[in-house]
Amino acid sequence: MYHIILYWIGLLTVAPSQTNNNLTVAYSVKFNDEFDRGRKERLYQASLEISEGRSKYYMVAKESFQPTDEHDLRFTPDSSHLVFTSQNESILIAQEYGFNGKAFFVSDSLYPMVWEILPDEKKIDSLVCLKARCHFRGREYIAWFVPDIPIPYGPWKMGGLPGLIVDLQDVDENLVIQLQSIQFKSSAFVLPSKVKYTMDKHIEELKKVTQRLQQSASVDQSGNCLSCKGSSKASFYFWEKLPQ
Amino acid sequence: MKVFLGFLIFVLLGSTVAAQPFVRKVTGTDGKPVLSATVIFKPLKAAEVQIFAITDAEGQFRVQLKPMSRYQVVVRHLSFETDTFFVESLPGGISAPERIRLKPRHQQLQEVTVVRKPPVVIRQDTVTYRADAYAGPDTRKVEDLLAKMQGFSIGSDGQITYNGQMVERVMIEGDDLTGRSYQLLTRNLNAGYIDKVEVLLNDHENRILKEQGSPGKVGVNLTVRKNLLGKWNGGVDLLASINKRYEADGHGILVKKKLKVFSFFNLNNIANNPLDEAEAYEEIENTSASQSGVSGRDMVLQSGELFPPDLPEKYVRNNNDAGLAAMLTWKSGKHTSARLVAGAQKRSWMANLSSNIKTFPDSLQAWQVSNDILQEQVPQTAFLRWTANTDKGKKAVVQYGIQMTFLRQNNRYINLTGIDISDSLLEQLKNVGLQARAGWRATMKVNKNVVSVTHAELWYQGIDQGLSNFSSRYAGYFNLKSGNYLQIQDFSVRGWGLSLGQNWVKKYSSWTMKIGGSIAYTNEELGGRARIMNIQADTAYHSAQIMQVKLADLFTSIRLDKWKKMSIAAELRAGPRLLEWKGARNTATGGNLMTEWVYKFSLLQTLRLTWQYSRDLPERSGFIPDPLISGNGAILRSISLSKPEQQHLLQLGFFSNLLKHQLSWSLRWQLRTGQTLYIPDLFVTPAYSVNGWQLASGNWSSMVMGTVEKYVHPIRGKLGLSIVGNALNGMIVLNQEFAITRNRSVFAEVWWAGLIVKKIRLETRFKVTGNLTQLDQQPAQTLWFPGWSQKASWQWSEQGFISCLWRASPFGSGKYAHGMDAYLHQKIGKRWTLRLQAHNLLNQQRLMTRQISAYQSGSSSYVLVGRYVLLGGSLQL
Repeated sequence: MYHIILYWIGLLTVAPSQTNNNLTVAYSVKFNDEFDRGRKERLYQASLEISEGRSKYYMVAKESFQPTDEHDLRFTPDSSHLVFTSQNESILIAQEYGFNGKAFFVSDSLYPMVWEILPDEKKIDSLVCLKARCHFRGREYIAWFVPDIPIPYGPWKMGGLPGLIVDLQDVDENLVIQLQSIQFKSSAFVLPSKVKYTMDKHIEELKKVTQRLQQSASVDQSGNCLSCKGSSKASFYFWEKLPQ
Repeated sequence: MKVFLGFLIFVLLGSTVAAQPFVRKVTGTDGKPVLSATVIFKPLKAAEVQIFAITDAEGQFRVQLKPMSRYQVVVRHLSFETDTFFVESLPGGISAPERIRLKPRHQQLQEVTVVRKPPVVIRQDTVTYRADAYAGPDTRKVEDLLAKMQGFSIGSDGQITYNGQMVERVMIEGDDLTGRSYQLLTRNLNAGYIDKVEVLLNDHENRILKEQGSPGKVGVNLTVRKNLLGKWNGGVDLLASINKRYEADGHGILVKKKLKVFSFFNLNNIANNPLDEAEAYEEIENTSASQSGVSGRDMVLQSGELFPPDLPEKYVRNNNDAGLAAMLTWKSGKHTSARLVAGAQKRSWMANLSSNIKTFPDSLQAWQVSNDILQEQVPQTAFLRWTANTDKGKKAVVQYGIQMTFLRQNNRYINLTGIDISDSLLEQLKNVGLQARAGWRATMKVNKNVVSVTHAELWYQGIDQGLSNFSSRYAGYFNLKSGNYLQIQDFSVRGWGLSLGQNWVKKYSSWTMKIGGSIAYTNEELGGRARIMNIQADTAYHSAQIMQVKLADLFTSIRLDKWKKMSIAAELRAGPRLLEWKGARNTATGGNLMTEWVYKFSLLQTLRLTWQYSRDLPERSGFIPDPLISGNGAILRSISLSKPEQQHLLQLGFFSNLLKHQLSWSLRWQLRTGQTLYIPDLFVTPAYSVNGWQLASGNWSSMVMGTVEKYVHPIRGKLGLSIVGNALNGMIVLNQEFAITRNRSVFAEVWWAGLIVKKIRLETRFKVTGNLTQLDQQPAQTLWFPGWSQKASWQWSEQGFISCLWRASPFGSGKYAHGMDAYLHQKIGKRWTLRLQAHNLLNQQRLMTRQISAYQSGSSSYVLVGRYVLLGGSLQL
């Protein structure tokens, strides 16, 4: 875990005038499945592929999901958090899962978070990193980015900093993402086309569904509820918190 | 009132100055727009925040620049060379290049392998810190390094605590060269010499006892960088200043496998004691009360002050010290070794010969002769100790030995410790052990009586590996001691103590809880046979991972017929989002003790509250015997009280950052009473800042002062009046500052002018301070202190500048000082910094310091520091 081999980028080899901008960035991810409730951490392997001004981020769990009890349900598969970006078109497309378990794409804003660059500086091995902080969808994140790698990408939906994000975590350490390696290669990928379903619409839909399920659960005494803490109350926990 | 109203209007007008938009297009040399280039604006003023932008598909970016600000702009892209230029936001517009064209990158980045090492590794009872992760330009010595590491706390005397526990020794590569005087090591050794810092939570001088699972103390082991092993490392400082003050110190260290040598010296007449003992301080009475307007009691010659006030020679202390420690190891085969450690200081010396013969029965023998004043808390002590241990299988260890202590003072006596038996009966069942220890110790006093100490200890330690992710440890302590603990100046304490404790340790956190009590009897010294009862309870929670420390400590000592004393302390810190609370209370009644309350409260860096109340009663040298309920013996607490004085200090500060508006204010109220002075002071320091303007009011040395400050680039102007002009990319700033004090004192800074042309900055400053002071028992005086300075500087980049300052000001009544400072700063590459500093002052006697210092610092392998003093002539490497 701690001995992470990172391939990057030195200097001084004479080469053609244009450098290779296709990168594959590997991250290790630690995610607390019981966020906002308790702690049950799982490890993931994540990959950020960058090619021709576009990026694709996805992660695969190293351990399978273990429900806390029979009512603890999870609607996303262990391979999730698929996120595409396009710098040219200034769009971000993320894969979401409905309560029926089916996947669909949502069009979201590209890097809407407002970053504040902090004076802290640290080295991750030889990489000089600067610290930045932002609030995004109900959580506060701390990111470390490398100005010497001048690409505005990062893991998941994070980005927009003047350098690659190499470390990212929320302040409660529910999500901890650390850089593993960077390589000069990237497989071709295509962005989903014609995604008109926006995040704003998705949030409205989620609000309606959760409200309906809560009302339904409040009269359902059989315990057949979703992530419920009691027989008559359903609680829903979203990583991207729904606005009130 | 009118003045403040004017300030307020001025600030409000200033707040309307809006940020200026800055738009540029980034293209390649072929004119095509560059997408996703990163543009970072680094403000040249450290207090401001960095801003940045990313270019869009058209290659454009847009930022909002603060007015009157200057930035270094760095434009980067993977396919292009990095471009750097300066941008200056002026009232008349923004000074910046119109075109940003990036040249194609002709260098291919190649792969390298980088290993990310964790800064802290915890393995069983050892916490290892990687020095690289904490080293920086401000970590010159090992002590600076330790202060940065979570869990460490450094006292003013250099004593180190780790998570609330006192560090007993600091070793270098596993060997103890300095004993309890480890400050000599931590305050002299270069931080760059160290590779890792290992905290041994279960440190034992006796290897056999450690193997048996006996609970140990906290020790620190420093490992040396591999490339510096076997090489001499050290430094020398020679300094001199006015009034013939001087200081010279240096150290050298050599670490090899079989030989370790550490030497140091410190010669000075500035009361700088390498061990920072209290005697290095000297209080000066009313030396300059008429000039400063405050009590002369403030004029305290601080330890290590190279530029003290102009004091009579009689107050100058000489504190010279020197020492040498060496360790030689002889090893034969796998199981047999001998080790000689010898050391000497100015006032103490020590020799220790130990042998380790690992045959059957396993034994460790040690002979030690030393004269270490810190070892026994008693001056002029020498002792001879011989101990041997025999390991009887895995279930018992027998320790036997003899110790003779020779005390050379008025009371000559020999302390004979005979046959100190530690018999451990261990039942090692799945890492759970029960151990009992019993022994006796006899002390024979030559000229009076014979006293004896009997102690028994019983403690339990269990190790539960538990779940795979956690390991925990439980320990309980039972300590019963009886006998006479203390024999100093015909004063003795006899008592019994009992303490119980529990310690839970998890991977990154620990929680300890102890409770105990003791009762003791004193002899006639304090006015009759006194019964003293001590009650102690403390609990602490430590989490190294998230830097949380919680410490509670209660200590009550009651002399049933005369005085009582109670102390309670609690501390809670949480980070990195700061939540800090500190509380301490010491109370005593009965004539010779001190009362002190200190409360500090800080919440999320927005609210700070400090209240301190202390009261010293009439001077009397005395000591409070504390027959401790834990540890190995009594500690003599010596308190020398000064003249009666009461002091209240209440400070409340509020700091808020609301969008771009910063609001801070603090209220400070101080009340002091003494024999001759009664000076209540009211400190009110509200401040409001927005857009670089700051309105503040402050109190300075019993004066009340109001200021309006504006960050006017490049000169920070403090002012009631500010005129800003712009001529040929330069500017002129005029400032006035005026304050009226409560004691009819006048403080005025008449004008301050600056001119900047390109990267050259010229400043002239003239200041007049008038002080009309009337103290309670002093006649009114009017003193005027004019002073002026001229400064020229040239900054060629963000990381490099040179400046030269000449100043003249009254140094005291009838004396003028002329000074010249030159300062060169250049950051070379990413790792190296070069600083050259020259300093020269001349007073009427033409005798001042001429000093040049230069250093390079790098985080890779070593720190090189050089300092040269022309007067003394020295060089430090």
